[in-house]
Amino acid sequence: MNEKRQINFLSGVKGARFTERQLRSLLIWVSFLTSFILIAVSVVLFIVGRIYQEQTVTLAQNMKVVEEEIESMREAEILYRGITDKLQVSEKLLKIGSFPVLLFEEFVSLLPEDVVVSEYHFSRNKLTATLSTESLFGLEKFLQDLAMYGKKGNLTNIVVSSVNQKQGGQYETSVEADLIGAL
Amino acid sequence: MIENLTHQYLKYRKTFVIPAVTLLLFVILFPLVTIPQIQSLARVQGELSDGKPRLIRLEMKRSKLSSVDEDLLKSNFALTAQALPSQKDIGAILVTLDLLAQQHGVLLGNFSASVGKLDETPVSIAPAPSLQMTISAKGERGNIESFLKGMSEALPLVTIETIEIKNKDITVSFLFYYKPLPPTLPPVDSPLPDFSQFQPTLASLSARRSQVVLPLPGENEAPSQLFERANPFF
Repeated sequence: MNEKRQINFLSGVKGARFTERQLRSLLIWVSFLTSFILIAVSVVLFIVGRIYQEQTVTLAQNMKVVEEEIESMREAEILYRGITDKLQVSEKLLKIGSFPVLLFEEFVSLLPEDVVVSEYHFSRNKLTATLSTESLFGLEKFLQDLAMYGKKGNLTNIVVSSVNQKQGGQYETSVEADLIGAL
Repeated sequence: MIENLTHQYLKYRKTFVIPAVTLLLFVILFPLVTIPQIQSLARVQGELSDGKPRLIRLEMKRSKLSSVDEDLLKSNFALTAQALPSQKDIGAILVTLDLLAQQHGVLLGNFSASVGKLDETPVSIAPAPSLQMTISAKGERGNIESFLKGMSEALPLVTIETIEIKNKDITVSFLFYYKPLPPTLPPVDSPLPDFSQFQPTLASLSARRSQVVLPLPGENEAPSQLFERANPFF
């Protein structure tokens, strides 16, 4: 009589009426399935975990072997790194090292025959030179050439700070210029 | 009658107990057993996925180090050490200056440098430490030009800071650099720098070395040997 009794299991849902037998059967199936899932998932996880564990152990052993081999080549590594460090710095120094000298060479190459450098000073990207000549024409040509040289991009703020006529027909001029780009 | 009904009721309820307890066990065991298992698996998987690239890096480094030609490494080291000595090798720079002065017909005068402690270990080796030096010399304009050019193209590497010329007198101050070997190595799996990118630099250093007439002191030469010769400066 009890088993045939209908219960309103989901009273809100139309037609959702179960007998107690059906409800019990459903419960048994659900519990069976959940148990099966729990066991199956645990077993699968256990097996996969073991496989991963073995792989981890193998990986750690391989790493240890390779690390030991690398450690044994420590001296070579120090030399290798030392060389590349030095080359890295050398690369930068090679780029900047000869620039003041090149600038000096170029500056001197601009001088006409009759213009002499009496003082040349280059420091902290600033060039100061005192030149003397007997030829005003030569001096003018040099200043024109210097202005053109500056336009090429190496010098900026070219200032002719003084032009003096000295005794004996000597002309003396001071030139200042800033070098473009920090060394 | 009442007892019979109670018995019937309990017998009927027992059929629900086992599945209900099973479900309850599932609810308890799932967070207690399965979730930690999954977490542990994820951790191991993470270790594996981290470890595999590390092993690849280590193997690459090992093969790179194994393939390095020891003789070539030593000769490259000697060359780079000539360009950038590992310590304040003041002797090397003095010898180079003397050679250049002889080659270019320039008379060397006074020089000054603050050398500091020779056995000093730089705190940081990232930027190359330098040593400032000032020299004065005397010569014709052309000779001074070629001397300066030779200096900027010689080894050890220097950067010229100031040039001061008054008639035939010249004063040059320059920075002489040195670069110690790395005191500690980075982690074992850190990759080795690519050497091939520095081939042009190596070639220019090699070309500079070949310009020097007399052999420069090597890296392993005892410092005392450098000063056994006559003082090149007057």
